[in-house]
Amino acid sequence: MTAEFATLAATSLALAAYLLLVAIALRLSAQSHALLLLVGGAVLVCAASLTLVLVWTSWPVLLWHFLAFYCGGVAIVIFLYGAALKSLSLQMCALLGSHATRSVGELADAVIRTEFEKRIALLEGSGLVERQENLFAVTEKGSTAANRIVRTRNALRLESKGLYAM
Amino acid sequence: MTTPPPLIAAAFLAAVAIPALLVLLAFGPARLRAPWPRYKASVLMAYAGWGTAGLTLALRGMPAPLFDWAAGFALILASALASFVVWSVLAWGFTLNMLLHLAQAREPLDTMAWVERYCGHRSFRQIALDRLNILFASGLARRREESVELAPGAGRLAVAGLVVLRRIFGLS
Repeated sequence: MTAEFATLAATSLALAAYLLLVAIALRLSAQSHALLLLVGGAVLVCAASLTLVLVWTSWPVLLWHFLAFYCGGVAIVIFLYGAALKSLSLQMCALLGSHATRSVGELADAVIRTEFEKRIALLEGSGLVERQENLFAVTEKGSTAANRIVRTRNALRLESKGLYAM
Repeated sequence: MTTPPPLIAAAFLAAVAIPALLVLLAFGPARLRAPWPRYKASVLMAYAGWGTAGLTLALRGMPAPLFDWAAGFALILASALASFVVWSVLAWGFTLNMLLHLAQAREPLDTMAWVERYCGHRSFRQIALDRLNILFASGLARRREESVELAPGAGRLAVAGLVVLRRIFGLS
């Protein structure tokens, strides 16, 4: 077995194990603490794979190449998870997949309005926003969080209003 | 533990440079204030710097094998994607921007006033159009006046991929 082939085989097996672990963990946790599971799972599988490969097999794995490919694979998984979970564009894309054509208004109602309400519930649930009858206001905790985000954006000189076009 | 091959060591430096460039490109005469151009420039500069390092090594009699180039590419890709996850949440995160717009209002708002602060219109349509423009630009969907349809090739493939991803991750 060549070193290149052994490295690619070890990386593929490690990434398959990572995907399996993440799929089970996300289901068991009902998607809570997802980032912790995704990153923690990556470290755990990497350590376990390296131990297995380097200690218990005679595969001539190239360590640095293994780590580089593994990091690339893990980053792709985390990126795809984020996109599948939160992307509004992809949610509209999925809706278009189940119906041949939709008007912009229908998509706005079915995806954006629904998500806006879900995110309000999320903000309320995390104590950042409070409802006063049909009005919404930031709590002290929300105001602190918002100030922190603004400071981070200012430090990065990041100008955005939350729309891709602006 | 062995030291990394020179091209992979260079890729590691280029990977670390991406978040650093995201900050640095906000300053100086050629500063980039908009989030997408700055991200694109950071990633391109990291890859260009790494490519130059690889060529320099080759010219000095240390040509790297193709496997090193592939590993280096994967390492920089990992950093580019990780940076994008954080950068996109800071710049375009929906929940995060909802919170910021409400905080900036400094008074309680009803839902439609909140939407108006977000996109300048008292309707969800403007936000939908903004997000749809990503699908139009990437060729996943097409717009015909008021109606939107999935592009037959890339669009169908993206939906199929999304269905598979949601099944893998256990998303409803």
